Amino acid sequence: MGLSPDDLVQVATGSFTGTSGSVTLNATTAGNAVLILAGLGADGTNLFDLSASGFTEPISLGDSGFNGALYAFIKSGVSAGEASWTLTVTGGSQQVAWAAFELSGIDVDWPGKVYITNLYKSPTTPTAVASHTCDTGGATSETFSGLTLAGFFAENAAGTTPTINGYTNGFEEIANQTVTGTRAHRLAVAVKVQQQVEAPSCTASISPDSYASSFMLVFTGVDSLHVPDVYACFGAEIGTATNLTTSTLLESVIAPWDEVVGTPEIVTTNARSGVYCMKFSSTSAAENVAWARRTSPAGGTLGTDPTTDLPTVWVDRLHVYFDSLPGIDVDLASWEVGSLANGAVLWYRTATQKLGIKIGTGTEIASDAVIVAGQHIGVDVRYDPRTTTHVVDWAVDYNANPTDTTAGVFQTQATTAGMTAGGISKIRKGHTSAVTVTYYMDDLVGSKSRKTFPLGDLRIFPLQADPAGTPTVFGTAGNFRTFTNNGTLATWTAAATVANLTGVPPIVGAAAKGFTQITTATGDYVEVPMAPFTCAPDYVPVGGRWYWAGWAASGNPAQFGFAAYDGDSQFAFVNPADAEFDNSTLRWVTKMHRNNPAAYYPFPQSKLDALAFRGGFSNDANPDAGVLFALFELVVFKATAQTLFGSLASTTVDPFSRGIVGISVSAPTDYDTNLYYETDGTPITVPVTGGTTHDETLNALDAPTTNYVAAYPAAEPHPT
Amino acid sequence: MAPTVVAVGAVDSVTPWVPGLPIGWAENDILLIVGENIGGEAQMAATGYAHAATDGSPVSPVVQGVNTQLNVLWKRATASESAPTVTGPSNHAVTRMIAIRGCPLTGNPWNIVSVASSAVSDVNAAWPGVTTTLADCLILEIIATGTDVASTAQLGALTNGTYTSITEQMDNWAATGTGGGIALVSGVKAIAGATGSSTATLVTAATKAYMTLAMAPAPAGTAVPTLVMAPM
Repeated sequence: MGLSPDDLVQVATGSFTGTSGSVTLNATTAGNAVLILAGLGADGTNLFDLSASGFTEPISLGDSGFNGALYAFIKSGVSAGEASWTLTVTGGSQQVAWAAFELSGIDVDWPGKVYITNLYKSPTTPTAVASHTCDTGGATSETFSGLTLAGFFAENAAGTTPTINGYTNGFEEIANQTVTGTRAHRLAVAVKVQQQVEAPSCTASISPDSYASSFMLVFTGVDSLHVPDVYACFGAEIGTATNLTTSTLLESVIAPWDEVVGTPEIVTTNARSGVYCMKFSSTSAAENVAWARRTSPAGGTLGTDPTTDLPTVWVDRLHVYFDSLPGIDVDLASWEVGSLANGAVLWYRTATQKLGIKIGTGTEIASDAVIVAGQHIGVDVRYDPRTTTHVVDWAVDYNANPTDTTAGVFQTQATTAGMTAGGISKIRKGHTSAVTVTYYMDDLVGSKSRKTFPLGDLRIFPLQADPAGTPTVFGTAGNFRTFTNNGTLATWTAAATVANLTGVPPIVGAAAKGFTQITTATGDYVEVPMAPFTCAPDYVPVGGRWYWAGWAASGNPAQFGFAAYDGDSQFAFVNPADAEFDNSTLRWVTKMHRNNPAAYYPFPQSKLDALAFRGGFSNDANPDAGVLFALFELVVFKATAQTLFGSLASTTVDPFSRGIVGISVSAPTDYDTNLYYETDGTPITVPVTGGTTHDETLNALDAPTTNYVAAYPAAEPHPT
Repeated sequence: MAPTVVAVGAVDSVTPWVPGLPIGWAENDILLIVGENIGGEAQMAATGYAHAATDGSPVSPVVQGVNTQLNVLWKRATASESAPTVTGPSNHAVTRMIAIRGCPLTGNPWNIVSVASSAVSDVNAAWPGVTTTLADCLILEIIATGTDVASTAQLGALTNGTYTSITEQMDNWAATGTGGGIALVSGVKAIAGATGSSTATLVTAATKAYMTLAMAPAPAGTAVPTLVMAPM
C-alpha cells in the first residue's frame, strides 16, 4: 500500500505575467488534495510575494527575494469539481510559472514534510549556478511508502531561458514550465516513489548558470507504513518504586515519572514481560503515576516549553491485569490538556465489565466485549486534542498475554466537542478517584507520532552491564575507582565495574557499590557494554530508555556526566553539571535512547548489539561522583509471523516497516532447497538439506532492504 | 512432446468467486486455479484442489507482505468437473483457471517449481528461474500484484531466450477492494536445463509474487485424451 505515481491524479502547468493569474486543472474529485508549486520571478532589486487564496503554505516564504523563489501551496479536502484557483502577486507585476497537481490518497493530516533548500531571497549577492541540489538538509522522512516531489525554479538574469534536467537519485520529471522576458525562468518538478526512510536528495543540472531555488515535499499516504517513533516508556524493570520522581538538574529533571500519587509499588507478580511490573493497590484513595511538564525546576518528560514540547497527539499502549475484576468503577489511565476535565479517561466499568473511553463530559464509548481477570489486557489509544473536538481512537487486545498472538480489536472512535484545544500536558497511569482496588500495569509505551497508532504488541526487557563484556576506561584509568560499602574505593577494574553495576533494584546507602571518578578529567569516561539481546526472529528492537542512579561520596555538589553509545554515535545525554548526587538518596537520571527528541532514531539490531553507556566526564570530581546503578529498558515489537511460500517457507516481519526479520525454510524430505535472497542488492544463496529446517536471520530495516526472496526446491522425480 | 494449453476459463473477480472451467477440458487434464488476494489474508481454497507443492510441502500461496498473495491450486480432472467455488479471501480476489494437457497421469504434474516475492514497488517483473530435468516442459510464468486497477493489459511481453511459443494466457486485474490481479505466460522449454529468469514490464509499479511452474510432459506411451467435453 502507500503512495504511488498513480496518486498524482492530474498535472497541469502554466504561466502568467501580471499581478494575478489562474491555476487550472480538470475538475477535481472530492476529498483529494491540490498542490501548487509556483516560481515567482523578481527583478534583482525589489521584493515580491505570492499567495493563493484558500491554500496553506507548508513554509511561508514572506517574499521572493531579489532573484525569484519557489513557492508551495497545498489545499486538502477539495470539493468535487474545483478547477481553478487564483495566484496573487504583491509588489507589482511579475512573472509566474506554475505546476498544479491533484493528489489522491495523501494523509491530509500529515500533509508532508516540506523542506526548502538554497533559497536565494536575501539581498546578499546571489550566485548563478550550473546545478542545484534539492534536499532536506539531512532530515529523514518518516514514511516507508511516500511520494517525494522535488521542485526546482531557475531565474536567468540575462533573459536566456534556462534548462533544468539530469535529475539524480531516481527522480523523474513530471512537470516543466517556462516564462520568458527580460529575465527568463523555468519551473521543473521531479517525483520519486519513496519506499524507505531516507533523507531524499535530488540534484539537477541548470544551463546556462542561473539563480536557483527549490522545494522538497515528502507526502505520506493514509495507509502508508510509518516509523514507530517511541517517545517514552516504562517497564518497571528498575525494580523499585522508591523516589520515582527524584531526578537531577542535569538533564531537564527527567525521572522515571514526573508525578506520583499514593504509593504505587513495583513487584514481580503478574509482570507481563521482563521481571517487574507496577502494582496499584489503594484503599479509598487515588494512586497513579504521570508523565508531565515540570515548571519548577523546569523540565520533565514532556519538556520545558508548552508551546513547542507538549505532544499535540499522544499514542499509548498499556497493559493492565486484574487478579479479579473490581467491584467499582476505576479510571485506569488518563490524558490531560491542561486539566483532567479537559482530557480523556480510560475507565473500567463494573456494571458492564467493559472498558470505556470518555472525553470530558462527552458520551463514554464502551468496548465491544467484556474483559476478564487473570490475563493481561492491552489497550492502544490515540488521543488527538488538536481542535476543540477531541478524538480518541482506540483498540483493545483482550488477551495480551505474551504467548497469545491475537491482535487487538479496533473500537468505536470517541469524540467530544466543546473542548479546549491544546498540547497534552499530562499522561497518567493509575486512578485519580478515591477507590479501593488492586491491579497491575506493565509494558507502558507512548509516542508523539499520530501515525504510530496502534503500537500493538510490544514488550520491555531489562538490560544491564554485560557480564561477558569488558568495560573500558577512555583516558586515564587512575582517574576512576570502583567502590563498595558506599565509599570504600578500590583500583578500577572492568570485572568489579560489571559486578558492582549488576543487580536490581539499586542499592543505596551502606551497601552501595558502583564506580566513581576521583579526578577531574572532562574527556575521560568508563564505557560499559550492555548485555546482548537477540531480537530475531520473534522481536524487532525499536528503542529504549536509560535509568542511571547517581552516587557521590558526600552531599556537596558533584559533577558527573552520562552518555550512551550505539556503535556509531555517542549521545551526550547528560552534561557534567551539578548532579545533586549524594550517598544516601536514590536519585534517577533517566533518558530515552535517542539523540534528538524531535527526530526519528532508528534502532536496528546492529545498534543494540553495540549498546553501551559511558560515565565520567567530570569537571569537578570533588567529592567523588559516580554511578551505582545502570539499566536499559529495551522496547521491542513482536514480529509478525507470516506465510511466505506455502508451508515451504515462513517469515517474521517488522510490523511497522514490513522488513523481514527472519525466514524459516522447511525443505521437503528428499528435496534439497535453495533459499535465495538479495539484501541491498547482494545475492545470497542458502542451501537447505531436504528434510531439515533452516532459520535465516535478516533483520532488514524495511521491505526493500531485502527485496527479492525466492525458494528453489529440487525437481520432482521423473515420471515413469 | 511438451504439454499444451487447452484453454483458459473466464476470470471471476466478484464474490462468490467461481472461475469458469476452460472450454475443452478433458479427463486427466491438469486444472489450475490462479488467484490473487491480499497478502496475509486467508489463502484460497477450492474443494478438490490442492495448492501447488513440492512433495507434500505447499509452495502456494506466495505472499508479498501485506500487498499481494498468489495462489496456485490444481487438480487432475476427473470425468466430471464443475466450476469450483474459491473461498478464503474477503477484501477482494481475482481468480482464473487454465487447463493443461499432456502431463503425467500420476503424481505432481510438474517437473519443478520455484517461487519468489519482490518487496520493491517497480515495473520490473523477474521470475525465479528453474532448472528442468526433462525435455519439453511447458513453463508457466505466473505473477500477482496488488495494483488497484481494472485492466487486461498490465503485463508486457515476457522475455526468455530459452523458451519458444511464449504466449500470454492471463492478464487480469480488478479494482475491487484494494485491488489486484494476475498474469500467466506460457512458454516451451524444449531442452532440459536452466531457464534463467524470465522478465517483463508491468504497466504499474507494484510489489510482486511469482511462481515458475514447469509442467512435465507425460512419459512416452502415455495416452493423451482426445475426447473434448462440453463445458459445464
